[in-house]
Amino acid sequence: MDTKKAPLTRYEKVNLSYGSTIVFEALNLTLNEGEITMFCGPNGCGKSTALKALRRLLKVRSGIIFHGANPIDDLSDKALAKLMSLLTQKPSAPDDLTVEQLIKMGRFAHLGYLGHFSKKDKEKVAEALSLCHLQNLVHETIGNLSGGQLQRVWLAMIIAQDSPTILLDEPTNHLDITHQIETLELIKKLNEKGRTIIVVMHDLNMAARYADRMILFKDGKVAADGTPEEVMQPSNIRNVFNIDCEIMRDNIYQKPMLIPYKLRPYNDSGNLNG
Amino acid sequence: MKRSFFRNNSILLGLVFLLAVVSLISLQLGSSFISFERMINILVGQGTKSDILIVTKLRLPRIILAINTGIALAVSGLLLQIVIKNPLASPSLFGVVDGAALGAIIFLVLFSSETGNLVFPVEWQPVAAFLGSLLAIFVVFWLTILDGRGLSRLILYGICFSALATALISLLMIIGPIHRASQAFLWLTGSVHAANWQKVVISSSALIITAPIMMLLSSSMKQLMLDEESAQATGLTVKTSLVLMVILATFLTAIAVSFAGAVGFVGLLAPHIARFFTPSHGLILLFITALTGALLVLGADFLGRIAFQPLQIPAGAITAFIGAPYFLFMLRFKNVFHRR
Repeated sequence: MDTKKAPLTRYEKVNLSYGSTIVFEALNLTLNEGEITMFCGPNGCGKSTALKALRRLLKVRSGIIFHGANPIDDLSDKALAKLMSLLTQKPSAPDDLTVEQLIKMGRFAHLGYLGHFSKKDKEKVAEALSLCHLQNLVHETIGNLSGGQLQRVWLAMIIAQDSPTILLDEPTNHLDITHQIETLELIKKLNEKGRTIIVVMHDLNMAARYADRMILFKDGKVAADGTPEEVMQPSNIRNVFNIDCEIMRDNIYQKPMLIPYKLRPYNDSGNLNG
Repeated sequence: MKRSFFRNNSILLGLVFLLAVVSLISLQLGSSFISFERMINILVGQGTKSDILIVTKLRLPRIILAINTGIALAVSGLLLQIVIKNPLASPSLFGVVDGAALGAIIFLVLFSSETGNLVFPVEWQPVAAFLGSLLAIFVVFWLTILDGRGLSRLILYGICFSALATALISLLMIIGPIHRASQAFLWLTGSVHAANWQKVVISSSALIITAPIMMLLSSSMKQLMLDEESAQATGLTVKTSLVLMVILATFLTAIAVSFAGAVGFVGLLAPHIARFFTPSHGLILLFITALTGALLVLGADFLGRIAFQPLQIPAGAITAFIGAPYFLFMLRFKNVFHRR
């Protein structure tokens, strides 16, 4: 278990903002290697922002984000891509692209200047294809895929990138329950193969089922941080989401499960009571 | 994988072969027919004076300039379509072409003396056009940077600049001497009739210098099919690639139109035709687009020379004549504009 706890990523006094809207002020957070960490919290709490900043899609205003030994700002775009892949919330590509073409795009950081595919590149693509059960769809164009299939293709592209850390921004959004479980099982499998995984998730019950560690954000601050058992407490949920709830355990995994009851009343200034 | 490799290569070879055939026919046909025998005579140094003049001084530079123009416009169109993520983007939307036109027409009209002679020798017209396109690039980029809302604003500022340039051109053509107006009109349609070796050397050098950069950019081109965040996450330095591609595209357009005038539709059309030939989105697409563009302009110039002899139709009129209906066909019957 001790090997699982080595710190990998460190946010040090990180300030993040979109224009003049400040999202985080002095965020301090350490994420561990080999874990599945889930970022949760209400809309606009900054969980996606924290993820994007880690992958340097958003520059920090001040502070430093370390990944491994280096501040991420010291690395080139390709070097960073070899360490971390990211599946964005709404990835897009032309409909006429085939499944194989899209997955191959995950190899970009590993290719030479003229984009030649080595034997290793081809192996990684084949590996990603089989891991996501896409062998039968290799030559299908992505415009013809269902939502669940398409999500598997995007995941395969991220997997082909072959980075030790994988970041996922709401990977189960808009998927039915079958495909949600399928996606999360795949994430678990990747984690068992040694990948560090950081996921932004809305569904607290799914997060609690699959996470090693859950972090609840609220208004640009870490409101709760720990194992699903530690985080999924009625007091935390009330504080962050402003709802009354009951926490139970499921019968098979013995993981905490939340049953929401009702919204707490708004106060005079139009905000939810904290 | 093997199959597409074979397919791509045979298409490339086929296009190169076609280009060679059209070039050869273009060398032979025209106001006077030059047989194979006489061509070989020229090659071994035994051609007649007039044959040598026609082939090496008139037709050959014209053919090469047509090819260079086609390559430059086609590649420029491809780059811009990728950068703007819009299949309707074309070099003429960025103000560069009309900027060059303004330069050329100012040269023809304002630097014309009372007696109707040009103040500067006509060889300087491409320089004026190039300066005009540089002015356009400068103004449009400057406005886009001031705006700060991304490269897609280039089109809007480009259209504004074009409108103003076009207005000035009309004005100049009306107030200028009448015989200059027909010259100006020829430039606006686009033609490689005034080719010479100097133009060939300059435009070829420009292509040779930019070729390695274009090839290096081809894998970025491919990656830019992803949305910008995803492309960045896979390791592409998105901003740098986009800016490089736009600069390259405008430079290529400026070179092409400075020598050949505003040949239309090639930058729009060639990438679309190329996409029919290949599923590739990288290097192969770049090559096929370049060859298609070369064939379009060369073919158009050839047709224009022989179709209505002794009248010569400028290449730009032919490309527009082919381009517009083809485009209509694509819009109406093919789903090419629903890529996303």
